[in-house]
Amino acid sequence: MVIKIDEYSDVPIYMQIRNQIVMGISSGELKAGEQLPTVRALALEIGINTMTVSKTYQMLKNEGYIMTDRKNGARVRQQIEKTGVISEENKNELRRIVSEARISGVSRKDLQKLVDDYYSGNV
Amino acid sequence: MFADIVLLVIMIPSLLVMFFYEYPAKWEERRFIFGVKNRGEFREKKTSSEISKIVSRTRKQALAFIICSFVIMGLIMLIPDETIRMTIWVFFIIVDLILFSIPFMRSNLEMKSLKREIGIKSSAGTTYTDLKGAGAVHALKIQSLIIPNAITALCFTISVLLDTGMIQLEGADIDGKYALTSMTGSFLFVGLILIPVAILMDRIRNEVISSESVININFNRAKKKVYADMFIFMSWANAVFVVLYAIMLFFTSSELVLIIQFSVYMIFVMASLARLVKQSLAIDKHYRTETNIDIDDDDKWIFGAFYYNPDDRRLNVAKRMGVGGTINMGHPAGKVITVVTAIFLITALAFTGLLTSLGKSSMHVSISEDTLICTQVFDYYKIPVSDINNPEICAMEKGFSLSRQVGIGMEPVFIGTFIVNGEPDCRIFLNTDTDSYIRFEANGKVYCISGNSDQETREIFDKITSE
Repeated sequence: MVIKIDEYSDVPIYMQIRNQIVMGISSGELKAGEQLPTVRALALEIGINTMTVSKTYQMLKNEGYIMTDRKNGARVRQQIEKTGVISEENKNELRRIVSEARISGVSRKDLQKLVDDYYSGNV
Repeated sequence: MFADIVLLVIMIPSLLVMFFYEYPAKWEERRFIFGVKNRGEFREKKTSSEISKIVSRTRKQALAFIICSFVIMGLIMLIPDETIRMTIWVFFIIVDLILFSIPFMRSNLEMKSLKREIGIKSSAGTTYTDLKGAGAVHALKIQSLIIPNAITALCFTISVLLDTGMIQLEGADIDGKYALTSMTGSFLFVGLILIPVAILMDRIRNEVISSESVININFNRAKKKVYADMFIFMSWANAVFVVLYAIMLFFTSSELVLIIQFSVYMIFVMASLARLVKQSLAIDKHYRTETNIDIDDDDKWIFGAFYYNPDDRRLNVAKRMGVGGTINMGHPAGKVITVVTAIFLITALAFTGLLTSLGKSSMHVSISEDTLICTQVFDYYKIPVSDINNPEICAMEKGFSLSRQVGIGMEPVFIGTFIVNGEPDCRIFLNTDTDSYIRFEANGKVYCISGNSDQETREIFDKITSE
């Protein structure tokens, strides 16, 4: 799975990594139980501080996407809790995206198709 | 002449390898064209024709340069004075390698300009990382480097024991002490330097060329395998040379045999370098069709040769000019390394110049206030005449031998602690263009001293004996 980091983005690097790992788990690129690189290896590979990667892993762990232990490092969780609820933060983000799409003249149908594609993992 | 032949064996293949690698005839097959990433947009008819012109022109310039280099090397070998010849060699090699890169650097600027003309925007600041390959792609087994270096270290240890007289081997035809130790020590040093370099190359950041992890992993493993194989081969070449050299000393101390042996060694090293280049190109060609991620960081490569990217925290990156790795000059440690390297290079050149000027300055031996003073730019020895015992005039006849332990030894000037005709720890101040020297003992040490001419040596000897 390839992670793309934009140095000039407003989104912090730890969040960019976190978002893409979540997308990788969702799309199936990262499978349940799959080993993730160590904090040091990933930091060296991207060329960032180990603290940044550590922060990402801690966040993913708290959110229940991965598990970490000293012996096995970080792995994607075998069973990710399916709450069936969208968080308030994500709702606000979705509202912003829908609003911007409406202002830009994107039709409801096109937007729904895009959501369907993302949801089914076709894109 | 030994050094000239070795330098030729190094320089000619190096220049040829650099020429075929850096100045390609078929740019379409390369990942980089003069340090600029080869892209799909370059295959459009008009752009392609423009690039072909740049490549053809640059190749012709490089070819003309390489022919000139060969002619100059031939001319250098005709210089009779060894000191001047060696100094010119040192400066020539550095200047030649820099000048040989100029057509490449000029074309790098032209390629960047062409990119701007066709509207390719830089995507600097974007990096790709393959999560599955991070920290997991290696091709080097450290033990493969340890074994040949252990053999070299063993030879070095035996050499030291032999030279210090702790062990003795019957039949060893060792001409001058420390010859074997200095040779095995030098090769051991080279072998040990190869270990961290090999590890560094094996841990170099993985390149992301495709959205598929399997392709990225295979590509990077193949690249690292080529480097690992070369370092292992060079380590074994080192070990084999040292063992053969040690064995050879039991039969002959002929310089010709050493020249042949060293030349064969260098040919093997150069062949491994050529193999590395050939395989690297084959890998690039094989994976070109599978490349679907193009990162445009060409602008971070100054002249296509020097990587300066303060936003990139990586210290070592794969080179775009030549083979191997280079440092990120924008990295804090990279800045330090750059400054230290520049200081080292300038110091080395200045030191070479100083040594040459020393070799060409006249030597002077005088007696002032009952003290023998040996001067050549600096005062090397000041020995009270009353301390001098058993002075005698000796001739530098056929078979006269000098072997350096510590000191300056550039023909015809030799100053320092040397082995003279097999006698170790002699303090010498000799001009070997003369035919005689004064040998004496003072304060428990043996001195061998000559003036600028036989007449000066004789006058000093007369003064010493009369006082």
